[in-house]
Amino acid sequence: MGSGGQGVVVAAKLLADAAAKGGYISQSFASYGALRRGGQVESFVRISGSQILVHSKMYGADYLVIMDESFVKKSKPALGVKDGGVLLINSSELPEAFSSLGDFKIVTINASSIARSRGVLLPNGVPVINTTILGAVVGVVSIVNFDHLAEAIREGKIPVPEKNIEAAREAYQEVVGEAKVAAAKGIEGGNLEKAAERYPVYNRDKMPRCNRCMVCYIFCPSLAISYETKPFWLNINYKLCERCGICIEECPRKAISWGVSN
Amino acid sequence: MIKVITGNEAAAYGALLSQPEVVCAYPITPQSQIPEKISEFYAQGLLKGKFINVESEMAALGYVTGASLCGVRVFTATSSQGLAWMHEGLHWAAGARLPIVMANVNRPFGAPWNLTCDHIDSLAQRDTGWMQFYCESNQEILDTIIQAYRIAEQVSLPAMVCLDGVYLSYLSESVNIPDQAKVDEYLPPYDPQFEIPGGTWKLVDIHPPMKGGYDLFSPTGFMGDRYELHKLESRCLETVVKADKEFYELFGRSYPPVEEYKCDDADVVVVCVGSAVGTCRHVINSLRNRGQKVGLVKMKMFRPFPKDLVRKVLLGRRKVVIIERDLSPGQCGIFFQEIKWALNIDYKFTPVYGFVSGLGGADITATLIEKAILYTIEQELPEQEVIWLGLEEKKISDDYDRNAIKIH
Repeated sequence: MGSGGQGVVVAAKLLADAAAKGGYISQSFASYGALRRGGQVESFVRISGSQILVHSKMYGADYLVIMDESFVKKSKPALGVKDGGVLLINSSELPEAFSSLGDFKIVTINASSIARSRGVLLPNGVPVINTTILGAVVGVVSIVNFDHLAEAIREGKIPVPEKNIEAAREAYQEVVGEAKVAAAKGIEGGNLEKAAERYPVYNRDKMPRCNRCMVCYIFCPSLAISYETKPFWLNINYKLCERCGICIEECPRKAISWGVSN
Repeated sequence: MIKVITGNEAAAYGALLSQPEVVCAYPITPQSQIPEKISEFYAQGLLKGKFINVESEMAALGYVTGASLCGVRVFTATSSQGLAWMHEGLHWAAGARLPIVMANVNRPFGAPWNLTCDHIDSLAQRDTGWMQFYCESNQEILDTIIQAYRIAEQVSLPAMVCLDGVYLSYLSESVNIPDQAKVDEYLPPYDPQFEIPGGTWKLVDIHPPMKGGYDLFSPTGFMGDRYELHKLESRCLETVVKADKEFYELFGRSYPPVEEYKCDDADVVVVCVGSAVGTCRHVINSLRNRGQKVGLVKMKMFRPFPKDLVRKVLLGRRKVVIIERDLSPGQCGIFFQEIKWALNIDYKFTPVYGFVSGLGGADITATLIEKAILYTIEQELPEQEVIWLGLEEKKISDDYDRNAIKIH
């Protein structure tokens, strides 16, 4: 699972591709609503030695990859993983930080930092982590061969495939040699945590800038913005807000900005 | 060549291998990938025909109808509201006996708005005269489209290949893409040198095409035409079975119109449609391991309704379970109506349990199917036409809520 725009669906497809190259029968599947960038997206992969009959969503999976740690930090969702299953979390923290999630084996990997250092970035500088984290997945799910993953990435119509593969290889090696992981973790991070905690703010200081065009209200994918008329005031419902930043991007008068919680 | 592709891509590959000369489709979620992929094929020069951009679904069907009247092989694809907009055109195409093949990605009609899977869109078109085939897996989608061209061109009727929205359309799985040469052997180029059965016109004589069967008919003439259409529909099952047999000989894969799975000694037989069939097979296997005599019937073909095959396999069973993804509100499930009708033709009683499940893309899980089968085994006789399977918990406010049978 991850946020819309992180490449959750593509990652599942690539993993299924890689497994198929290794002679397995594989299936990948995604469930997403009408949400755009920022909403929660789930995708599923089944890998089997024989024909896969089941075509439903997945309940009680063996492995769960969490690309956006804020989903498990904000709340404790039902994870759909069987007891004793493996959670692979994109996080700068040590696995112990997530031990409250339940009876799972937890592996963490700082995919964002690896992707950033390898230059796997969107034009706006946000790291693209889906291929990086796949390297770690292949390290954890030992039946899939890394070379097959590299081949799948090359064929997958992804921009700059070689950079993606290098990032994936680094993540793969980190997970395979687990001793190294613990050492590398203390140093990096910080940025990602801030990114997860920030949220859009519309406050009184910015009131004069706002021209009440309601663009933010129209663009919000999760209908988190509502308004009052007398006196005019915008409300952001933080329970619904996905922290996607579309309102900040769209506001023509820069009346909404990022705020960071203390 | 084995590739991991989505159901939509499988449909596009099926179309590519059949080499239609005209393709028009208007994008709609969850079908958009089909025209996208076909336009890619066209840009790469793999598709020899014309890919025409159109402004709506009605125009898409209008274009392919016109092209088909000129005697070329055509393809289109749509879903849900798009299919509803084609409704009038569907009648025209079937009435003119045009072998159009269309992929329909099943999705319910609004309101409320929904983008997932429900069979109501194609089932609502059941009286248009189109053949309808429902697919279980991505491989089956690809193969069925190739088969559909052969069947449609032999019986000269349009065919609709239905695939479940999201559960197949967005699901990637390993698909064996056959060689073009082998497909060409199975599906020779379309040769419209035939007299349309029952019609007084010849397709090849129609030039310009606007006249094709679209003359004004007197009431008696029209009724005679419907008689011929009915005759054609009643006979097309033979062609379907034969086409499937030949497909099996060439490709080693078979999709009979009514497929039996572990039915030989089964007391309870489950009837299922679409992507849930695979999940159902899994449940049947696990129940068989526990000693229950259960079997599965997959309804691949819905129109023309293969009533003889249905009766052959279902008559005299102790219990029949139907799990379907559609509902005729106020009545019951549509497959339930049709199958119950088929089983009661000679007034023998076979208990049929109609489960309505998975509407609007709710998941039909293995657990739910198992619950439905175990419930049926326990019951003596079916009490109601609709049994709600997997309905979310509702507040009980009146007698209907109290009496409705719900399995969560």
